[in-house]
Amino acid sequence: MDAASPRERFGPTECSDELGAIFDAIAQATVDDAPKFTPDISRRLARDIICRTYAGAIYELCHLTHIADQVFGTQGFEDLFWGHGPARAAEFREQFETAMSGSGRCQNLAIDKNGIRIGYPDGEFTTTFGRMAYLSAVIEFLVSAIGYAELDDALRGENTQPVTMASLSHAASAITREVYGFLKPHLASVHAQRKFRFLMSFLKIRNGDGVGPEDLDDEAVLDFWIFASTSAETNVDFRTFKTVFVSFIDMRDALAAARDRAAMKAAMPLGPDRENGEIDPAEVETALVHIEARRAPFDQLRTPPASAVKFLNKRETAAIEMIVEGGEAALAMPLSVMRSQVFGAIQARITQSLRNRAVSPPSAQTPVANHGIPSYRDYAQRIDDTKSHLEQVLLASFHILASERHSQAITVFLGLAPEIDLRPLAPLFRDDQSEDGNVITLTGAAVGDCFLANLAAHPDRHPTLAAFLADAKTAVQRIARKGFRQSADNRNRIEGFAVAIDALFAIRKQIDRFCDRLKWAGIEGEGRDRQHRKDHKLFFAQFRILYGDFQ
Amino acid sequence: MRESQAAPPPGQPFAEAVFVALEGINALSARPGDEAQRQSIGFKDIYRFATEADQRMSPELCQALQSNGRLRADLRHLLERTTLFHLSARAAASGGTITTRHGEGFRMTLRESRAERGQIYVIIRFGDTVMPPPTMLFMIDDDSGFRKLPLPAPSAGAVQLLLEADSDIVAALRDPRTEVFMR
Repeated sequence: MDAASPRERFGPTECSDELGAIFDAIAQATVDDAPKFTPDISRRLARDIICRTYAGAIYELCHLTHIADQVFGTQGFEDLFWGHGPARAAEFREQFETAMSGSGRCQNLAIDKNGIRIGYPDGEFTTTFGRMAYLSAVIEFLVSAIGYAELDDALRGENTQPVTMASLSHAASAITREVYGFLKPHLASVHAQRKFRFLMSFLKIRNGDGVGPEDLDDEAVLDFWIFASTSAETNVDFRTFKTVFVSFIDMRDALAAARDRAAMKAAMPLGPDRENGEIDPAEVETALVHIEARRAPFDQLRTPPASAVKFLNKRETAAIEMIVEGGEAALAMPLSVMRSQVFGAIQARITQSLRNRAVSPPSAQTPVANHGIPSYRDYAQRIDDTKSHLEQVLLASFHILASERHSQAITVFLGLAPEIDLRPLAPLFRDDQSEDGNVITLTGAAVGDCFLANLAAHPDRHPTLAAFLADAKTAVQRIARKGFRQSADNRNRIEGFAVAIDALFAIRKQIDRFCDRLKWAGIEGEGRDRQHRKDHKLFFAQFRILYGDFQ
Repeated sequence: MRESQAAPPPGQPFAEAVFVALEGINALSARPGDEAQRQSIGFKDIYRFATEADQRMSPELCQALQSNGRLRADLRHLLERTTLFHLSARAAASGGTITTRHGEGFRMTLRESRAERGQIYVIIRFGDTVMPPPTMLFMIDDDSGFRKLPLPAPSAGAVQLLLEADSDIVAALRDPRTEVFMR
């Protein structure tokens, strides 16, 4: 995907520029040159704001700011959230442990390895260090949305002495109301509702009532784009193929979520619950959590400690991001992924060229065609190249983890070479014996350690295994990227490899599934080239209708 | 093509709610790691300016404070919350300038240097022993906005600065409309 901002990538949307700028600032905030928030936290915040399910977090935040004021003094919460490093559980734990060690001034507070408990005259409240990382993003949003002065007045101004659960609940309600008021003009749903209804009307005409996720396929995406990109009736912008495809992915996910919910309700003892017009935002949020889980692999790679290693570069990520983050929808509409990546990119160049034409003389412009027009074969090659690179990355990860005797090395080995027969190594795995002859039972970790040691020490026992080990060693030497060489912070680097393994395998699995789908749909070899020639004619004809002479 | 006017089938309102939320998230979820994206000025910047002695007023922060009324209000609120000493702004006297200003727990005097003409001593004398002593002085006025001045360590309960008499800072400190904070 290109590097344009989300609002550009997804076309006209629901949020104002101001709200978008707040979220951009939060997602890009840095402390000591490291991202302040992990991608997962930024996404969770967006989900809570969109679904308006932030009241609980604000209530927790009121408790946490009160705790911080008690522990750190008069500018307690400011210091907690803006006076230290990135918002991570370990960072918060360290701050509180340091401040509370040996201090008897906070009689109503109790700290343990997970979090802090505070006692009030009317009850008690516990918050965890892990949760503080998220609450840090919430307060960042609040100071941008309603302002620090207003927030501070609400948090500290109205607190009665002594502070009670009830007084904090009152403060939380006031802040929640402020946020609701702020969001009203910034977050309207009319545009997306119109999009949904227009798309739904099209699908009903095409497929009849009872539209389900399976009705959204490659043909439907193309038909809809041809129709809607030039339709004067839509009131919504469906001009770019990419916008249409993203809407189809969202639509497919939404219909699948609705079907799952209906099935679940039907299975409940009280029977199916008819919609009465009221949707519980918490149910929508739960559906979003499920849908967004497919973003986890890339989020994981972008989050420390994995972000210390450059597993994939921008070009590789761009080639496969839509495949991975599109989840089941990408598998159901594989040709649309190809179309979006190839012709969607050409369309983006055309629109950019037309924008440039408006501000610079024709002599300074490069015709769109001069950029070279990629084909489906080119894109398939990019996927293949990325797949090959991923294999090398996994092999290199194995070598690095095995060298450190890290248990994740076994996961990588089993994932990469499940077919290798390990029986020739069996004699090396006899239970060890102590000096007095007693048998020592090996624990799981010890077996793993023994396995890794034997792999390195006895390559002659198993030629296939020896070849695997040699490939792994060569892979490390081949990859000259950040994190693949020893560094000052080696421990962090190794942890980065260890936590990234699951994400790398998840990405590999999704790419394999996608390639299988292409094969199954006949989009490979000659069939793929034929499809490209056919689509080329069709897309360029539509581009001419949309943009006239864009060359 | 018109949107369907008939009652939506069961499940459609939920699908619509999820779709609307997904479209909203697409709009809000920024792409982390786009190094080219410029960092915007926010609360973290005014917090550092207000609390870190070596944090100077950057041109970006200055511009943001000039154009963003709420950021100005937030910085002022932050200074009120985090500073130990405060001199409120007053309406200008007929003469326009003053040589001594009184705040709660301190007094600030501007006195011409006898040794060096054209220089001014700014002497800030604290009523009680202050621990820890303030290390930063902030000035807020309508014309120049926010300014910060590092303070030397006090001696015998007073901080002493030697400044050019015609400097903007001396003019601002003389002006009763300038609000002063120290921390």
